[in-house]
Amino acid sequence: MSAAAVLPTGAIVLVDTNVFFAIGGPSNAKHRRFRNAIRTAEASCRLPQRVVTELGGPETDRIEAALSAGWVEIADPLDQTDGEVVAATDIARRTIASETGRPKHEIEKADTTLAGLAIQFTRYRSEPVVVVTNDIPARAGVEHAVTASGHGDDVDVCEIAEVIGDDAGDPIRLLCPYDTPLTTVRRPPRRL
Amino acid sequence: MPRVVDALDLSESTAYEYVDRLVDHGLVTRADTGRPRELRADPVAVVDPVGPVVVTPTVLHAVALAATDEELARFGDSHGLGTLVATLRGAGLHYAGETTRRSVARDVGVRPTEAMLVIEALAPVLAVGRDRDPYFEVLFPDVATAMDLPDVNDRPTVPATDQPADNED
Repeated sequence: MSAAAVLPTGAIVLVDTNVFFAIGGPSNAKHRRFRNAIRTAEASCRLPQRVVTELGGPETDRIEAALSAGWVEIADPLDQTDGEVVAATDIARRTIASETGRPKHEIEKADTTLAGLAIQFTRYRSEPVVVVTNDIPARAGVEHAVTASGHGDDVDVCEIAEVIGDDAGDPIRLLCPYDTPLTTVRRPPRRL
Repeated sequence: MPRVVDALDLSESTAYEYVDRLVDHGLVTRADTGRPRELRADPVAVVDPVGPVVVTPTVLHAVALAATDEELARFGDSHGLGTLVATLRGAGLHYAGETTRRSVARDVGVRPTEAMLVIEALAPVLAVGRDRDPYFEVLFPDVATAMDLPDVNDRPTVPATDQPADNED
């Protein structure tokens, strides 16, 4: 496994819902690696309220456990009166719409909130900001939004593997693991 | 045959019954000579020219995984295997950057967190499918080569039935 990218000391780390499915539950090694990365960097892990809602609310076991253990906090709501914040969410929405070929109104707000929150934190706080999401188009949306807003140097946007280390050493779980090459024969697909 | 019986933890008579059925359907061939009898299964794909039905080894892998993975099983029980396969297709499009995970949820009619769980769980199925399924492009005609997935040849593989490691270091 290659070394994890080190979070900036004291960073505010904004986390998307999908990250919790990538790292598994508290007993999972990846979960532990993420928690340790946050603690080592003395970072502050913030969950957008939409993420908390998606995960079942603050009383949900995994959220409640993380909140009471002190390594996660719920982020302030998005400031809809801040023009730069609103502009960032709009850029993210347009980017995701363009990347996925969908109309803008179909893009979920939870996918654009991270961009707005990243700008909100970087405008009002001095700590470096890191956005973590494993969603590919959503990540492109946040990246474009922070760059277009002139905050590309203040905000890092990454997937979880970049925080807890490249998982090249983690095994792939398959129904039938294999370690020898197979020969495959391709015939035309059958028609029903 | 003995390896099949061992691997699937079935009684010998049940295993023979299942294999006989697969042989009858032409999905498995059994050598006429030699002991033990050697079985061979070439990959097949089934395409419905009218309806949106495509069954390839990758689809079978996802469905079979739902028989051993508790969370995928729960998803299949709640929404049906058709929705699981639709989510597999959505997962492939996501890893190719063509859709967000939340849009997959909306497209297949499940909660965002359900889609996220399945998309994450099916990444290995897509990774091995891209490497080994000769019909992968039938399932993903436009995006088969565009997916951002781990390379199965660079990574160790373990049975999906094994519990994930609780500890490391």
